[in-house]
Amino acid sequence: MKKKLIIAGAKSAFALPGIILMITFFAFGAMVRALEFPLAVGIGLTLSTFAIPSQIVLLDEISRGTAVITTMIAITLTAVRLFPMTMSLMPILRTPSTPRWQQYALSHFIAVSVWVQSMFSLPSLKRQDRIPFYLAHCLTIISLTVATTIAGFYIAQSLPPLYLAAALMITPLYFFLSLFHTATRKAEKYAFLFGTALAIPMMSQIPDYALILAGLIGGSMAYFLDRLLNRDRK
Amino acid sequence: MTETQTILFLVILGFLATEPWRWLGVFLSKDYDEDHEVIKYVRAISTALIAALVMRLIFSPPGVLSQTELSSRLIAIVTAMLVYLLAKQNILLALSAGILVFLMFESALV
Repeated sequence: MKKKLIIAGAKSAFALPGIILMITFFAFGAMVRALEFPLAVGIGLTLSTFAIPSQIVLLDEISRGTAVITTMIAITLTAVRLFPMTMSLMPILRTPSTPRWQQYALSHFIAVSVWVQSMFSLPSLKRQDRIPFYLAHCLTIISLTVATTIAGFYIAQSLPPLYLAAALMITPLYFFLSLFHTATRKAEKYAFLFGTALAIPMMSQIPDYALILAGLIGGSMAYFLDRLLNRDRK
Repeated sequence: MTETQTILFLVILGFLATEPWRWLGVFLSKDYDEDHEVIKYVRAISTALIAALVMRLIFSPPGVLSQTELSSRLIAIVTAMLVYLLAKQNILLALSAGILVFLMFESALV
């Protein structure tokens, strides 16, 4: 039974989200080369960080000569998303008997793509089947992204910059569509709208904190609006 | 710094800037099951945060994407969303349409 699950999890990596990720990491590999970092930085970051926007911003800032501490703050602020994402996925993923250390280890793979995919596919699985499926999915995904990081590093030089830009453009488009697709509950649809709408003015006023504030305020507005509307209906 | 040190430094920097947030998420989730109101609230915050991240990737993108026109990126994301809504929530079709429009506008503008 376990074997079937592992195969199903691994297979799910080759569906659309996995393919999108591979293209994204291909573009990342190309970027590592273009900014004259060694390949090991690309592979190492994919393994250690596994959050593509953070990886891209990190190399982008360092190569522009931004101070390390400023870069660190910028990435840390952007990566705040990983906290509510992990907090909301973990109760779906774990069983009552999953040891704490395993939960910490499993959380390493949580990134937008994996979160969206897991929020969508895990709830329909039996609880004891979720971790094997998730782990098989994530390990396959991370192997494929390391492979495409390497491929991007070596192949992409021969591609025109426009195509690389298009490959990088896939990330926001895919995040946007899949996030909306997974937002099945009313509260999440509102959060999607508020987050989008608040981010735009906030970015020009308070660029460093725009994401956190848009997330916190937009998410709170959405959650409480949903509660308010539900209460009225009852 | 030697090259090996630089590599290790960057790889660890990426880890330190991201992983503690995941650990904090695991730590603070320990008392809640998936249907708890706190988890629903946090899920709404996650959704708003990712939507905001998308806007930042569109309005001030990193890397080679920053050398493209904002108008191309905006038209691409609007097109993708419209196709998604009109074409029975087909993500692949919507994504392809968005990228195609992006490429068309970029080649026309440059």
